Amino acid sequence: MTIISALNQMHHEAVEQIRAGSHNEFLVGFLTTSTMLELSNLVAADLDIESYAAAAADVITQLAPVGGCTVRIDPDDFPGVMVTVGAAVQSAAGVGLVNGAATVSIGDFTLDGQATGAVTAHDVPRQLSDANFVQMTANQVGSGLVQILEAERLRRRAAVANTLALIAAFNDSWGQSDLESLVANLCLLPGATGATIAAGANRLAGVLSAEGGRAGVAAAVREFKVDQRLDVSVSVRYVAEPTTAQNALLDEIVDVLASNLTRIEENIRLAAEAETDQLTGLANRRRVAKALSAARAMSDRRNEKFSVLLIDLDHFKSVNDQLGHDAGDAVLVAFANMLVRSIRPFDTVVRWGGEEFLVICAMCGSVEAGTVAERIISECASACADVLPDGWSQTASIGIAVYPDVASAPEALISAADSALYEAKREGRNRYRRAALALNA
Amino acid sequence: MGRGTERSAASILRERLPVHPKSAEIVLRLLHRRDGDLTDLDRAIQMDPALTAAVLRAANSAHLGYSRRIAGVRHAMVLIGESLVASLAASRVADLVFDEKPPVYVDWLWPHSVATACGAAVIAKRLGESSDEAYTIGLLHDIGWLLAAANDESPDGNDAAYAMRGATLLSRWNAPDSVVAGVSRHHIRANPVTTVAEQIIIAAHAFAAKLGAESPEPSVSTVEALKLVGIDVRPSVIVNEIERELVMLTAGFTEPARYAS
Repeated sequence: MTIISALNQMHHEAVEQIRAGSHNEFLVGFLTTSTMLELSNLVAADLDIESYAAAAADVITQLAPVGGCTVRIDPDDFPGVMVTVGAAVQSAAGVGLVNGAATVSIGDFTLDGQATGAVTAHDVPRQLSDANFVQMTANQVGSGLVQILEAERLRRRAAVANTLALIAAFNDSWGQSDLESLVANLCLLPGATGATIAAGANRLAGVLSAEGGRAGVAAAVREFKVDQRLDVSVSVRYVAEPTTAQNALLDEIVDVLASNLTRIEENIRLAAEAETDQLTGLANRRRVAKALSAARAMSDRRNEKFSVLLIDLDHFKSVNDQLGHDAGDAVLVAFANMLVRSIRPFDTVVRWGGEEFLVICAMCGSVEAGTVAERIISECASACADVLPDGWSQTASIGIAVYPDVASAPEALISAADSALYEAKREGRNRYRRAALALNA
Repeated sequence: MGRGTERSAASILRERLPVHPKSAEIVLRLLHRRDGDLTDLDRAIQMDPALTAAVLRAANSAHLGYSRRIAGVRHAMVLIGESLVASLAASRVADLVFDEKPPVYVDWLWPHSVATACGAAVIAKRLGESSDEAYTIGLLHDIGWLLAAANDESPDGNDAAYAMRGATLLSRWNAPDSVVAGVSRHHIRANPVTTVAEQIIIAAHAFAAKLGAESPEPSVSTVEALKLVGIDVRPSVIVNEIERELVMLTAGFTEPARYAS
């Protein structure tokens, strides 16, 4: 028998075999388990709720036999009490919605996380839409999320350990970089703002409590309030009698925290002030390098672009000269406020100097950057009209440079945006121009 | 859930290529094993155009973000890892098992694809070219037909249209340009601008036909094929080498499966 006739025989036997087989049940179990394992791997690598939702939809659609998939995750109240998971699978015929839910509550998470997730699959094969399958999927989603949270918890615990080590090692010679690593450890979510410092501190408190709570011994509660000024206070509450060793450990942690928090607070405030423009409350040039490298890292990871918009107020010198510096300052503040309203929360606005502003738009290509620039230009006049006397109007010119199309080095990106801004000025102001693409791009 | 995050993945139902029942059977048998031994998984995937395409698609997806596109299925499997490969295979097999009316797998298609793939690998090796890439092109060169079968279309015999359809799908799945070009141009007559990769697939096609694994598309003779690629041996030498590759690829898979655990 030749090899080809053997292949042909294999072909025909297999066609029969697969039609006669009944292996659906174990296959569904395997599929859902492996899908969820894959999801938890994805997330353990880099937790970011939004990209998790996207990746989860992607993975479910690729792995499970469904036509499409929607993943919703509610990131609100992430520190919380329990994990609740609901899964709904819609039958292929669209006859109705079958619901299954699994509620998982785990001691470890009692102070660490509440996540609500729903997975909705469309175009599910009819055989998969029965109640058993729905329940199984719900359970799998539940245990998948538990794994995800476990990974996140471990990550946080490592960050907390680092934080505590840093705090313990605190001394008066602490420099900017030590402080930055402390803040980075506190801010366990991406995007360092006052709110995430608070969130990070809350989580620190949460993990401290969880450590105590798990042993059924003690809880340390720490408040970290952030408004315009940073207020830090520490209080400790024992809910049960700790063992001597645990007591000693807790005391040590709290002592170290308490003795150093005031100075840390002061350092954090100084660091924040050093990076803030006093007049407009925007970040100043000191923040740019950090913001650019963060934007770049995010772009590289997601294989997306980001844009730098360099903005200059047209003929601003005449406002200062003829109306006085107070009026000039009012225009700068009004314009800065409008800028902050015009961008997304994860973008960065910087007062670049004088009447120049720099906006770093994450995940934003050339077309989107143009839209942002148009919006800024069209809203500039009305934003500044309130603070200018009748007969005066304020316009702006903008230069755009897109990473990595135009340049990849931060300095080159800004200087390309500067050239584009110059072009916009030369062509009559009140407009935006894009930097020319690099030849090797 | 007001401020929740929502993302949808587009429907890709119509682009699902059916897995060959033989590979499906092997995958099911492997998944049944309690010891988790997946030794034969790579051969089951290499034997199947749909599974190979799925693995390459996963390895070339933006998600993983490798800068070079990957053409070799073994390379792809190393990159994405055994467990994901197993999940992918299981999900493709699930399509087949759960489908009430599984797509008809045209009888000539599977032996022809596998034989062309082995032929391309043998010829590429002799030319010092990448045999993994040649194998992929050979295995996938007729997925246009498979796509038509998946969508329940009766064949109209337009070779060029099938080739283009397969190439379009692979291009959308980020397959390397060389693979896309090889698939889209496998049916053409050799001309002065035919690349080496394209010559290999044209020659492999001829040898598949010689072995008895023909497709409805015409091919050149094996003598012409060898002249095209510049290999100076008798066709029977190449035929023997291809048969040896095929035997190694399918060794141990000839017994029908039993699912009782």
